[in-house]
Amino acid sequence: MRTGQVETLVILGANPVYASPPSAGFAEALNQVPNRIHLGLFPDETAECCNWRLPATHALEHWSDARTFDGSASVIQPLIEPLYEGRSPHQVLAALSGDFLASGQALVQDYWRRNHQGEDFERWWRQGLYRGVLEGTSFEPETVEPMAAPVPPESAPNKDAGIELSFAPDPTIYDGRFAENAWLQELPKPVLSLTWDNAAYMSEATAKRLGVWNEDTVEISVGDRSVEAPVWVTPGHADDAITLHLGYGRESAGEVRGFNAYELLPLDGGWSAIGAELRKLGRRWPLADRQTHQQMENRDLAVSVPLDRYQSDPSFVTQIHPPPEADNTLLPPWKYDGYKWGMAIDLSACMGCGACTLACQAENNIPVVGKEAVINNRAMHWIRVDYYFQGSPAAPEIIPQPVPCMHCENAPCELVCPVGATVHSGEGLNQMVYNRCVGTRYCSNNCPYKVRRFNFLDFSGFQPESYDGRMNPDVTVRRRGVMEKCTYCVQRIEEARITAGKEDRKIRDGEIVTACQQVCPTEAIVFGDLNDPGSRVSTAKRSQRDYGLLLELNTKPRTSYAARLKNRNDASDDGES
Amino acid sequence: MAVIEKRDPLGRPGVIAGGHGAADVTDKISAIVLKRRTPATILAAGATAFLLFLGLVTAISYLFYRGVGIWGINVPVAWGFAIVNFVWWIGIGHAGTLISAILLLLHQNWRVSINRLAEAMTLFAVACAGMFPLLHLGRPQYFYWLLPYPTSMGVWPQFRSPLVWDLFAISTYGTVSLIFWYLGLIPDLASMRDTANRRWVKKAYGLLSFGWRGTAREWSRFQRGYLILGGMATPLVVSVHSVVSLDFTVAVTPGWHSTLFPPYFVAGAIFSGFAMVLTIVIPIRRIFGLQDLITLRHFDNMSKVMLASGWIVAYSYIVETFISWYGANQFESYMMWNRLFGQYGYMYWIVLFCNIIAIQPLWKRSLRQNLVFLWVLSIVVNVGMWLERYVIVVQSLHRDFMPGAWGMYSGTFWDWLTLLGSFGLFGSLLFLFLRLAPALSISEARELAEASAEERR
Repeated sequence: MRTGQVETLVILGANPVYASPPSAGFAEALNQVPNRIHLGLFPDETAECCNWRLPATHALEHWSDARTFDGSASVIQPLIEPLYEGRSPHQVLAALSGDFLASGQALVQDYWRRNHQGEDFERWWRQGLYRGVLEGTSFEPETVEPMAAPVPPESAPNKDAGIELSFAPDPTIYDGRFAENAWLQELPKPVLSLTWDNAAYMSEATAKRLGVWNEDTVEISVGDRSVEAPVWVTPGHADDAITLHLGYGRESAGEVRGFNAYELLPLDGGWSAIGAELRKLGRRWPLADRQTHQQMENRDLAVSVPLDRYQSDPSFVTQIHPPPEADNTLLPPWKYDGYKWGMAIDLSACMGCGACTLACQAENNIPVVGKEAVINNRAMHWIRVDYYFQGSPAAPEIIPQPVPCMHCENAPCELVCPVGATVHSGEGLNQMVYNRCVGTRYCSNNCPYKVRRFNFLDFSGFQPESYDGRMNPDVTVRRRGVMEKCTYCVQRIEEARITAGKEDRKIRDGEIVTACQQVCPTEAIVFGDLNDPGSRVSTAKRSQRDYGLLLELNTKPRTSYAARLKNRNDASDDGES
Repeated sequence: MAVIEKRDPLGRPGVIAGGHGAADVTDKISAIVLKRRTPATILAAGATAFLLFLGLVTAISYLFYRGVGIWGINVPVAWGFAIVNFVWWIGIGHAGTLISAILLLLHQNWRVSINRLAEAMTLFAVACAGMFPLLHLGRPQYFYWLLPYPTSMGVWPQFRSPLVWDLFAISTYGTVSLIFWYLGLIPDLASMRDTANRRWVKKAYGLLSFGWRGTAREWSRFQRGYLILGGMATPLVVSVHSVVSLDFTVAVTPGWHSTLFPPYFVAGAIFSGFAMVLTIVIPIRRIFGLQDLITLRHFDNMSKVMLASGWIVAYSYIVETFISWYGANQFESYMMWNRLFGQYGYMYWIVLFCNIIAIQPLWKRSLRQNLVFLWVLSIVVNVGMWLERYVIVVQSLHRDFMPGAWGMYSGTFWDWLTLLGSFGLFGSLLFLFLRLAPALSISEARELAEASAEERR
């Protein structure tokens, strides 16, 4: 590009002006190209350098295709007509080859028609659309020989060599392409629990050695390049090393958040740099961490035991959490003639990715509150993931625990609401009646699990019209001054009830899938009818690992957990099982 | 004017200084309103109070415009300044009724000179207190949903909630205090009518005194009614703060869930209420020259009540700490450890200093009658009692059961403005009261003066 050999450059969706080390000089090189065309959803840094900006379609607006992990092709179908007359990359490429009016559907379909071997393409195609996977497109499995364990590179620098920087895409906004997605910005980063910012992650020992602590602003420099970054002490991080997440510090994505770690990314394509220096600047950089306390304080909330303990004593969990006596309440027990909903979460399966939090947010019209409000503990997520660190800060065991509403049988919140805005349903749900709530917040104070969320300000008001399409029409949008919390996706329960009612049958097990359950990649969450002994949730709750949180309070939580078993490899020295 | 110190056989100062006749007393008290120019100090204090009150109006306006999110509250600490202020003001509103009702039934005649002021203070404190539970609602426009009124939808308050009990307790207390105070005022308003010179002033007081003529029959009914109201108000002194404490006790939260709270809160309320009476009476006595009517005997007695109730509070602290260890509940014991040494620990130590250590000099009589010391001490106790409620509300909530949901709390500018504004409301009401009504009970002071004149004969 610098030599002027490129006359026209078409960039499809990528943002190399931002997502490359500035010293590589991509922006200057790009400016040498006479015709610069950018196709993108947003006017990003690259688009600003281009003289043609084409509006792209969102993945929900266009036809496309993709491959699954085994190579099977899946066709991406649009959910809506393009809102802003965008074009998909397929259409742009077709236009470049002369076909200006091609529909995205025809382009994708034609490709597969050309590549389809068997008979009756129409039938195969329709079936593929229906199932989501085009049959017979998976790759042949390859047989591979296990490699010998890789030898770690001799990278561990001694302290004199300076600090090693390692770079990684951000866990939520990736390389910066999702920087404008407020849901992802506010989703606590797994384990770190930070939102809205990236930081210089380092171990406690390193931070102490360098004389810095959380939220200190430091200048990190490698050679003549430097960035200013906040410090975030991360248990389990390697000593004398700092991890920087890419994707922040974008200047064309609304307010600038975090810092741009591409500044320090080496030009040789490597993902680490040795010999970094760090200087304390004496300023504070406030960070919004969702969870401010990661020690469990000997409370056995997220139970995690070695496998051999389970093998020697399968009922270990009842010793840790003895169930309270059955009848130590003055109130008559609830009766459930029909359904009795319940949830079970398997801590052995949970890996703490936070997808449940995000799915819940999308499903239930949960507002985003912004960095200041997260700092002030006002994040609205109905299901949060707590990360507990056990053991030494240098090599802790990290136990993630998703916490939705427990839908307690003896719910402390129901007792204290002066207007009866939170009540027990005939199917065991602990329901919020938004209309009736006057906002005393007593229920939240009395909730031992602290899963209730309050609309302190008008978080859902004053949204641009284009946001309307994002809202779930089945879920009430809550106004200011109203308490809200996990409903077990009651709108999905009702939908299933209507379907079952029309077919004159009971709701089948597995027919209701809560949003958090739906997206859980490890299927750690199970939901269903506890009155049905054969349901998956009943089976899960019969597990000997099953326990309830804070049973001693006699709340009788309806959401229960299966204790985490760890099968630790003692030969490995990194500690994490 | 030389104060003639009359002492009783125990060597205590008299309840009322000698040498005053009935007419004398009437003149002295009514002159504050009718004849004397309002002292500059009172005017200045009134102006300051009114300015603060305007701050309250601003704070409330902005609150209604933006919502309770302008305050520092969050989850886990969903109650903050508003509830702290509420409990504090309600506590202050206890001394008045205690002095008027309980001491009336116990024939403690020394109460006479201070009961009117204390009752007015109670009323205004209850007004300040009552404001906060309404303001703190997320949707204050629907506060009436807590009331059992016949709705077309047939929904009722949820009677198991202590907040509903609270509403009844406070509104009952407010109503009875108001009636009690006003009933006591009626003969005095009539005296004011009789003393006043200007026609419209006479008319106004005449209207307010319901045409009181001072006949024997009126007096006999008045006294019967007053005693009955006193009897009614007496259990309220105990019940109101007990019910307020149930807001906390009923909850499962460690630091709240304790059967100790009702007596502990009542003692604390009396403690802070007497402190507030001292804070107000000491300057007023001096500014208006009421040394004859409010004597050192009063301060001596009030100090003793403070010392006694302060010790009940101290005992409560000790029991609370002991039980959190003896109960062997890990959440309770962590809460107590955190209360002593956690992020809010410094506050608890200030509380211990203000409410226990600082009052111990009151064992000494000379200090009980040293008004400068008492006034400073009363401020210290008020601060201590406010912080105590802050510790109970905030510190208990900020770290309860789930460490993953722990957090911190601090008040914002609007929190502070609302608190200061409530002082403004209180001060403004007090100023208007001093300016418009007899600050001391004329009729009862006359009885005392006559009794002491008889004694002398």
